[in-house]
Amino acid sequence: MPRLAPGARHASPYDALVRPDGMVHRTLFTDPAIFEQEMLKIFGGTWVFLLHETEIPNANDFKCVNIGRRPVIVTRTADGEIRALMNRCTHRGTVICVQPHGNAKRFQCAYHGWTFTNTGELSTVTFAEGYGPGFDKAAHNLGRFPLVASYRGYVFGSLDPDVEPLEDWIGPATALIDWSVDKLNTPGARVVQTSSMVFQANWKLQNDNNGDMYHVPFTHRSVGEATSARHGSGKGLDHFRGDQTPMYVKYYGHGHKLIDQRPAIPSPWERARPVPGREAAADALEQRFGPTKAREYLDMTGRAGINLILYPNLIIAGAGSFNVYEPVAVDRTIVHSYGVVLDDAPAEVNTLKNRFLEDFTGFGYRDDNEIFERIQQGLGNVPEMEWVDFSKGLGTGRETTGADGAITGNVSDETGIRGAYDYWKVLMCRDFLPRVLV
Amino acid sequence: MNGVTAAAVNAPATPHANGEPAPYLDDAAYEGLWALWREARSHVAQGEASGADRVARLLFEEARLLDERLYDAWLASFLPQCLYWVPRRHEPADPRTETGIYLDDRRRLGDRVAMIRGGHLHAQTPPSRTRRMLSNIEHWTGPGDSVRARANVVIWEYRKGQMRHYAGSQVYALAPDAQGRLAMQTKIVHLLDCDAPQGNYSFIL
Repeated sequence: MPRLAPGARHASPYDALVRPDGMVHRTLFTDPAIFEQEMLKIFGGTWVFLLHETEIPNANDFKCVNIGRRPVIVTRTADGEIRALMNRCTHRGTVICVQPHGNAKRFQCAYHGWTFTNTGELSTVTFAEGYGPGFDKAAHNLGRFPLVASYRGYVFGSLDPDVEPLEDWIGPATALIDWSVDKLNTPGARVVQTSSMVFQANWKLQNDNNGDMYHVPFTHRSVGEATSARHGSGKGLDHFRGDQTPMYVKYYGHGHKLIDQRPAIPSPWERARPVPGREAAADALEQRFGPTKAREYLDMTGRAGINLILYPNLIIAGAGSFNVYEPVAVDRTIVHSYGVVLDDAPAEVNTLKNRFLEDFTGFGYRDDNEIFERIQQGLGNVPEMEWVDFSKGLGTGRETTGADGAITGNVSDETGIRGAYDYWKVLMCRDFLPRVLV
Repeated sequence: MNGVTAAAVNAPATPHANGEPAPYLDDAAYEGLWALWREARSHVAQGEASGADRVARLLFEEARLLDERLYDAWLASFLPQCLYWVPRRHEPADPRTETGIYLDDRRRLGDRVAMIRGGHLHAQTPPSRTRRMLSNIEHWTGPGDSVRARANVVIWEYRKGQMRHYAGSQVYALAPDAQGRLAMQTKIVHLLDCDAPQGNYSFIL
């Protein structure tokens, strides 16, 4: 715990860990006990991203995910309703579904054969005559999230039944989701997993970093320099050279933050690094559709534009890709990456999208992960130095609050990251425990 | 020593009391040891090998150039229109329809090397040391003068105090270069855990 001023008292032990001057205590990243509380109060205390609707398009489809470490089966019932069920038998606690995704009306536990429907109801107890009159079968349904809701295809669940409605919680950031979805809004758009990675550091470092433009010219220097040297200026990350740019960061409340790169990227296609197959795909599209329509298609292929981070576990990266953070331990995190396939677009568009999705996940994320692990090493092993500094932008007068309540800062300011820690404190200081329905 | 004394094997002029040779680590012995090391680091097999030897030699050479981080020679060992694919799924589909861990043409392979060479790839500071073990090499003839091959691979990686290993299989397409010598055209690296969350593959797989 941090040293407090003499006589200072705090209602919650978490209150003093996030200071109004932008300082955040190191134990948020290193203390296993705080991590355990985050799994209850953050990943169990507000809306958390589960999956995209198009990952379970048909009746009885399911996908297994981990939500704040809880194994969860997200099902689409025969009625088309989406439910989030705890993947844990109510008999002895066994994980009942080990298939990552599929189609099933029922799930049978491998241990003693109890069977549950995909709505979570306990349908069969084997050798049931062995249970006395006190046994309440209905009390043994699978635990399920009290609330599941979606916005433009993104499905969220909450273990707090009293959380505000999803749209109110997303707030003015809904406009950014609308922009992203409308860019690729065709009936054939569907989400596919594109990669996943693991690093030995706290999940919040990734959440911070996705709202941090300050690091780009330094952490990603290898990508920037090699791209400029080999392919000329104006490609890749060139728009991140300094911090005097038309780009900006924004904090929306509820932990949600944005980096808006769009003002610096008139054409995603011209900005893009030259990925394999670029020329052949562009030629084919131009021959078939003419230059104007071809350019429309080509501008759909890149992924740059916005970083919209919905607290705690989703970042929507431009149009057509998003990442999900999965906390595993205080110093271990998995990040799952997803892309959008357009079944009704020309094949070349999807092929190029795949080559773009490989590009920054391959070249950018490795340096981010290395930095996260170095931070974990620094924060974890110097207990005498307690604080992490997120004050950039504070007191400069260059942060402005808009009519919608969102705060805008210079693109290199830590405005959004500070906002996310304010929300962390709100959630962690609550007297609250997550609840499931049965 | 199975009943044979050291003295009988080495016949030293002055046998040591323990049956070991007389002290011999002099400057000449040091020179020999140091020269052996340097020769082994730079030696390239000479002369015409044939058949299985020829294919295995190419595969080992490519692995060694990567392990030694001799990237210019490594890139030069591929034909100009090369492809380098590291699938992301255990049962990969047509690579046009899904992402890979890599799907590189020469231009992106060149980017990969330039990023390492630039000195600011933090994930390769310090660089990974690697050793690739190739085994179970099989090969067959492809169209024209081309040769196809596959092998199992284990990659040991040491970086920042940690030893890691990766296992998988590799597929190769070999074809004659402008001088008619067999050279690497396509390489596919299929890792056993390609669909699991990946750690930091910042060296060239």
